[in-house]
Amino acid sequence: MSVSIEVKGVLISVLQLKGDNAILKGDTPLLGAFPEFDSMAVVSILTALEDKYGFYVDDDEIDGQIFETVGSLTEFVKGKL
Amino acid sequence: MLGHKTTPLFIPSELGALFCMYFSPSSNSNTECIVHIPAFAEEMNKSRHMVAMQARAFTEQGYSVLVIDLWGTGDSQGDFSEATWDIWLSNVTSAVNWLQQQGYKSVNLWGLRAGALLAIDFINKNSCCIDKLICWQPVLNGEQFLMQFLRLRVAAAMMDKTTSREKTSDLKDQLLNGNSVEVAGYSLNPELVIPILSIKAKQMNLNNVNLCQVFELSDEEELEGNHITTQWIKQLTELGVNVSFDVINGHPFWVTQEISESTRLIKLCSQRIAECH
Repeated sequence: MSVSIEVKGVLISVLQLKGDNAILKGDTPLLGAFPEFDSMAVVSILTALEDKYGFYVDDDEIDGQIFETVGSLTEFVKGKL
Repeated sequence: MLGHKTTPLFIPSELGALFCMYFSPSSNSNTECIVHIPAFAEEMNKSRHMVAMQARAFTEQGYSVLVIDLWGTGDSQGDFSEATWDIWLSNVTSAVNWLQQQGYKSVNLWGLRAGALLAIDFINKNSCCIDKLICWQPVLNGEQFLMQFLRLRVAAAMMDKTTSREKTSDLKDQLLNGNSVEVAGYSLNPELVIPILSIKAKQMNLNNVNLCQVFELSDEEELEGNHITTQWIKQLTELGVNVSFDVINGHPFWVTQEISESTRLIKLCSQRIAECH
């Protein structure tokens, strides 16, 4: 399965997206776009990705730019692999 | 289907009354009971629905269930900022004692996330009194769990550009130096945090329990448990602990943004405990 699909899967699961909200594209905005996207969601997503891929995200890497869009988050994950 | 009663009540503890929900089968013939030890902070709130569902399902297997709010959490007495790990360990003792006073011969513990870590630490320190241990998505490494919790503050700072950047390692140092740290509205007491930092389930002795049942949820198609859990199960097996491990497809209900449930988990967990009879 591609990283892009897996990242979307994590987002759908953590944010509990349903229906049209669950249709995620690379340019779908995240931070500020989903009311569910709070600090707990950020941490849950990072933890889920760490558990899944076995990498570790350093505090310095936790940056708003990563969470701008589905695509930026996917690129970040690819860069960690 | 058997009926059941749900009774809200307070039980005494060293530092004040603890709020509990007491689920019991309508028939009085049951001699076994389960204490539920909740998850930490927001995870506890998010999982109340699932915990109540499972508690009711356990009553159908003839078990009574005491769901406790630890001191300083929920509707129990005390302030979260003053809660310590030792107080919480003594809360488990209070719950076990209260159930024994009600005449239950056998007491089992059921912990969720950090509540499972508390249950494991309790069993390690109190060698006698627990029959079975049920762990839902257990936290097995206290430090890793706590650093993830501290990260909430780093993530909040990320979203608010007016606040300065922080590092979880600095927050940890503040706690180690005896200062409390507020994360996501929860004021962490160093005496709560410092013991958690040093607890690793793999160093705990569970040989006194008759059975340890571990459940994890996974969103993946291939149902694999977390690496650390798989290692722990292997270690327990080698040490001769009677252990079962199930990974079930489902959402992580203790963190999902909307309240979610996993009926598969409840069905399997109830089935596993029924198999013990």
